[in-house]
Amino acid sequence: MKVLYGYKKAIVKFVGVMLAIMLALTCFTACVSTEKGYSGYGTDAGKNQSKVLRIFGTWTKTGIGTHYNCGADAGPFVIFGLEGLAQYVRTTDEIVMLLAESFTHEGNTTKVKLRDDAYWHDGEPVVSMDIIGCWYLNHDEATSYMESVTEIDDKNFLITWKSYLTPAESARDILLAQATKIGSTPYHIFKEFVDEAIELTNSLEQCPETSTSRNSSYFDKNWNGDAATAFGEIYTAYRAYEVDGVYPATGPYKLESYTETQMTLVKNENYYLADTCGFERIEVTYQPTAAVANQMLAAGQVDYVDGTPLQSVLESILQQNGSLVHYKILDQGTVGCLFNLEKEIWASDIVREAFQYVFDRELIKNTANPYAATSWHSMSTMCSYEAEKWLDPDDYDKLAEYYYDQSKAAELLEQAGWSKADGAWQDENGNKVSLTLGYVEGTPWTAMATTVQALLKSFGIEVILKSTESPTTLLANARITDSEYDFMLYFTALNPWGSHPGGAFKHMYSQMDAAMMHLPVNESDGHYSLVLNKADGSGTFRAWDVFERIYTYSGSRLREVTADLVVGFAEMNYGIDFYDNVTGSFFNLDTVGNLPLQELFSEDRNITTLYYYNDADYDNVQKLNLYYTQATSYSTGVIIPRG
Amino acid sequence: MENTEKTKAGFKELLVQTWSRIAKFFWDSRFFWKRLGIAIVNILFAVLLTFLVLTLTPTNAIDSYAQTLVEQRGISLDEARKLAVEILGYDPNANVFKQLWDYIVNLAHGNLGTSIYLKDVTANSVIAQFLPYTLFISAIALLVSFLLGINMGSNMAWKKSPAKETFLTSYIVTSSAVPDYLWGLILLYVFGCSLGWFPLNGARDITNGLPVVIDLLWHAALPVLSMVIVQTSSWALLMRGSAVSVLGEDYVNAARARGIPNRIIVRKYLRRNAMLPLVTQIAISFGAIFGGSTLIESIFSYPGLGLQLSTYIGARDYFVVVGILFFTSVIIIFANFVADSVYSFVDPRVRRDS
Repeated sequence: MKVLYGYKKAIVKFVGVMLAIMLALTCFTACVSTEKGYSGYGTDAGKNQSKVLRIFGTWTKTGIGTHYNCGADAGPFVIFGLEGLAQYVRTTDEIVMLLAESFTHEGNTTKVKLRDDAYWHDGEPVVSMDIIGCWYLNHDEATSYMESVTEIDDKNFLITWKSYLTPAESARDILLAQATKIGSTPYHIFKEFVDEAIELTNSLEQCPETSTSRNSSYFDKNWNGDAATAFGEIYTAYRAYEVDGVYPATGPYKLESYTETQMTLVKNENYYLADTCGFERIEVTYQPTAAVANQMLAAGQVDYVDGTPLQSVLESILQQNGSLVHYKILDQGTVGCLFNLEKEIWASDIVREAFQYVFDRELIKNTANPYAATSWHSMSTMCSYEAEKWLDPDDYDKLAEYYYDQSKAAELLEQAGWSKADGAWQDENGNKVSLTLGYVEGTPWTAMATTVQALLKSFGIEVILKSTESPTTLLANARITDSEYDFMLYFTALNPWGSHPGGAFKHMYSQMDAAMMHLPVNESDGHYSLVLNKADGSGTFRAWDVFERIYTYSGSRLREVTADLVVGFAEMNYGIDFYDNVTGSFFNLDTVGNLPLQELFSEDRNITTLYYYNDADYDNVQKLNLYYTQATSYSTGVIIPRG
Repeated sequence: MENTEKTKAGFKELLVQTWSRIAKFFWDSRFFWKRLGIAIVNILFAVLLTFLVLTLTPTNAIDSYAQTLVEQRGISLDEARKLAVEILGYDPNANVFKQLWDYIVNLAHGNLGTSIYLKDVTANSVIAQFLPYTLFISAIALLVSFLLGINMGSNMAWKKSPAKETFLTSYIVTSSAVPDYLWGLILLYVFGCSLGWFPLNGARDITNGLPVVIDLLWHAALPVLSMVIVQTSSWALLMRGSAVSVLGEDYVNAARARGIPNRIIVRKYLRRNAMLPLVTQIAISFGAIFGGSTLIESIFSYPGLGLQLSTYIGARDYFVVVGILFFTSVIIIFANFVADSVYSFVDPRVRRDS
């Protein structure tokens, strides 16, 4: 019995010691850094003598292929190794000239002059046919505005824009800068495919004036069934071609090696901006799960991570590692809900208006992303601060604001014939209202979905939540006829295409939202038939007609049509804006230099100040995001190692 | 003439004998053929079900690729979808049964499935590239947990010490109640993040200069440990149950009576006999490890087959998914088949009963 007692005591001791060790470890790691600020950034030496940048990235694990358009994804190498004629900085007006030295616009033509000192990674100079060939093989948005691209000489070429759809000069710069990976198809390697594609294009008839797809036709040609098939064959062969040698690229970093989980890039010493390019190497770890990524960040194993996690996670990471700073960055996106207009419930404009009052947007914002800025508008297809920039103040003020007022919502619903029985709302036909909400599983959507559900339940409407694994699946589920979703949580506005209203309308009308919302389509031309009121009240217009020509407008006319599209759409109450989204960037201050807002992070490394267009530090903060600038912040010396 | 008749009769007799021998062989081994038939039907069902379920799920490869084109080129979704069909040469609206038939024809040629996105990537190449990683960690985990488990189980059965019983039972309850991926996260936090003793992800670090084998083992340590913690308990429980029944056998009592040392009894009488049922179990477990542990591989970003499978499912790359599932199904079914067959030969009662 005594022996047994001794054993038990030993076990209790052992378990106690183990628990104490675990507790001590947890406390130690949690309390290792309680400093809110970071001192000595501008004065003391850093810890990155080897000038290495460590980041996360993703690529095709089975192999990145031998060229950009082969179908496999080279991930971080695409960002740091490939470039275009110019790079727009998303959310700012800045365009950084890269392979092109200049764009000269004259009439409906643009002359592009290439840099003399731009070379491919295999040592060959970059020539006009490299860019021309890439466009003829890889049709992008710019090519739907082009009539032709012709070589003047090795370093100059001429773009002729469609005479009936010539983009405004400022819009041309944006369109050209959107071809961010145009330097991916060297003519000396892909000559065979380029020549075939140009020959095919030139052999095609011009797109007829009566064609409903005339405005979007590449190089103004009639890409009918046979032409599309012939082009598909050329493209398939080009895609499958295996480059024997160096992966074609022109950018500041070369690919040194990669495995399934690691990639190493080294500085391209022949790069035309090599002098300002600070980091010698970039070491990329394949993006782990969020939990592990956070642990690696806290352990100081990466120098830069994009995004804003939940507030508690963010604060915990900053507390664990006193060298980390987190910036908040606007992303020109608004988060909210989109109504599925196929559903009977949304046919009533009074019901749509009533729903604007149902939600406590401040609560939703605080639950999902407390660093963001609450929006009080109905869905307007453009985030508030962007609308403020592109609309005249009088027009901006026409955007109605809706504050949390469930009694007002109830009043409107009763006006629409709805009634409430046993705490639950019934529609005008006496049917109990129950809605299905589609959303993408993950941050911030899950938190937002449960809050929306709770708010509607408290109001008397039951909500069934349906999550999907990705935006692609949400889109696919939403756009099918008789979709089960009554409404969806997603970006009600998003503009990742540079600072031009066209980007926001592109997201709305041709890429995501309109298809999810089932905007009515005109069967004769296949385009959306939505008719909106003009902002000045002078009449109506078809939204698609204006959207299709948005890049052709400039100056006051651009502001006018932008106001028409934004104010006109907001009046329809087709969705609800919850908040203007904010993303962010973590940096390790020990290893990364030249970072802005030193005076703020010396006090608190969780920088919560939001900078808008007119603020002095706006551009500096926006340029911190790798995905907004691609490699330009690193190649132009905006971000350097702290050694 | 007589000779010819005799020869004919002899030949007929030989034929009858041969046939009866063949028939007897098949009759005697009917258990084996029955199992083989079931295994083949299982494989066909596995292919059919995975293919149909995948094609019925929302979104397809065209949707996914179109979204990529939209992001890369700034074109409209409709344009991107048209382009995606041209580029990939895959029609998601094609008859599902025709797609399945084409797949089976390919399978007959040894091609487990070609990727819709990447024409030079096949299920065969994915398996060849990533299966070694999966086998490396899973096989080590299985072996270590098996050895630890049988040791623990036999000790629990042999020595009726209340203290040890309490400790081991607590361990078994705790370790089997907490899933391996949670153990993975705990280990990552303590040994990877807090103490920094082990890497947090990947299978190798090409920059650290360590010898390949050492580096591989170092990276595999935490994933293996998290699997071992959970698997050991189930082996220990199985072994304990088996060992308790062996302990009551006459030959063990006789060995004790003969004064054979306890360690010899445990090693040669107890463990060897108690392990028999576990051997068939390990054959089945060995088959199962070919599928990989998706969650563990995901947590440690370990480039194994399980993680690849989930990636290809996300991309709706049906043919590769079905190829990998077909491969793992065949291995698991084969392992079950072998285990069943071996057991039936070892223990005739199983044959008889079936």
